Amino acid sequence: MTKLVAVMIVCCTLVAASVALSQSFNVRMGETKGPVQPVNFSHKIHAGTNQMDCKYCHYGAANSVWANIPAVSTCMGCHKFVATDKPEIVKLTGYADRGEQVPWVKVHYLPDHVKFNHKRHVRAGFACQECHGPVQDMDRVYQYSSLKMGWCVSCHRKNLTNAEYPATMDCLVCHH
Amino acid sequence: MNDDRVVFDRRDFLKLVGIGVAGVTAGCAKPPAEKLIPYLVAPEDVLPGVPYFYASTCRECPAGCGLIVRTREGRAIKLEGNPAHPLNQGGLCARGQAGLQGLYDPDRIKTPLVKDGANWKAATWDEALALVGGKIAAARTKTVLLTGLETGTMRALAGEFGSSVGAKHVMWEPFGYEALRAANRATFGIDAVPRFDVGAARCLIAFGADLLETFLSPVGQARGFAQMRAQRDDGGGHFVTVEPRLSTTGANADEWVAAKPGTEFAGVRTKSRRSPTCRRKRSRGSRASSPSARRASRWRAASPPRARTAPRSPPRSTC
Repeated sequence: MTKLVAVMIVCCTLVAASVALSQSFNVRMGETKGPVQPVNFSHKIHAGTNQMDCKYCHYGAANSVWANIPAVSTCMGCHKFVATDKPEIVKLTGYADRGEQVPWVKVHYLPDHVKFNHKRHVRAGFACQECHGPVQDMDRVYQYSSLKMGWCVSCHRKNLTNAEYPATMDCLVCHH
Repeated sequence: MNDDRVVFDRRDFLKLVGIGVAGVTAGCAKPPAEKLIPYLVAPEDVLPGVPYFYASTCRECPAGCGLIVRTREGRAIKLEGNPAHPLNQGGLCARGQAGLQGLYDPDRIKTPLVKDGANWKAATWDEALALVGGKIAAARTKTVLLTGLETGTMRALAGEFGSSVGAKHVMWEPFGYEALRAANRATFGIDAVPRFDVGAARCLIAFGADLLETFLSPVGQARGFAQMRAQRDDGGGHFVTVEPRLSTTGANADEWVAAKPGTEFAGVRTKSRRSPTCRRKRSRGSRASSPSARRASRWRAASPPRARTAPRSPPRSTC
């Protein structure tokens, strides 16, 4: 009886572990180069080839704590007329026609106990690419920087003596 | 149990189970990918992440303190007093601060309810409006429009709506200042809840009015109270309370007079003779000729005789 119970417990945990790992494997490995988005939007075409300003769509970056995700209407501002026959644009038009928001998948994760203010960094003259990497070369966006505390601090430390926008090492600047 | 009958010994069992648990934890640790839902059509004057502030009026009590409401993405997230408002001058009491709790209360009533026997049944707005419309049409002139305390344009609107359907507009105040309103009407001919300039008083006597807690506008009065107390260097700012229980207000007074409920006014004469500040103030002006005294006597005449009867036991001062 004891033998059976022991074997069952071991089997159950191992099976559960293998299921959990195999199920999450694709997500995990896939996300190293960014999650699959509902519409296959390419930053490479927009920011790279077409040289669009990041802030045309992410207009909140200089004015808000968040660089906003553009509204569906912002996309349709151009795509009502541009490349309307491409399959991904047809998908986008579908969302717009149904009155549905595109459920974009979040790429950049910060821990819940820290905050990041886009406005301050953009206004201090940092290019988007300094944190987000070469977005203009990314077909699918992925998290370029670690966004870990050491990474933040190393840059803050470098800019402590910045004449115009001195960085600070105060804990509460990032931590709640 | 003999060792040879066991498949795993204790250590192997723990190792295997440990590996399993670690695997499950690793596999399930990361939450499923979060979604970023943008606007369908972005409102021109709203930027996600930027708070917008609106000036408003607190309706948690009839005092009506000025508010500044902080909103994010169209939702109110914080209430603070409006520094430019004459009543509260930036302060906001605990009740006002908690106003948001009412807004986001999970148990708040979200649909119209129709009474079905002893129970309430949820209805849609269309059903409710049709039902009410029918009832108003049937009752015609015997209708009463009951609302909470409304002021200004909202009151005018409710009144207009009421008169258009032949209904009398009746307002319900949870704090019930009808007696004060009636006194104000009898004394000054104005049908309104008064505002007391506590800060200007040399001597203040409160009859059962807990002005630092819930009476009228505690925030405005607390501010006035601080102002009044500042005159103490030159002999002013004397505060007497006459009340049945020792309230926070009573605890802050110079003199607390215990009085049985309903007999608060009986001790006026005794009290004011005892208090040095109040006596000085009173002996200065001739009592009958001052306008406030005339108003007070008019008010006394208008009030029901019960308030003027002598108490069975005279109130005792504690100091």
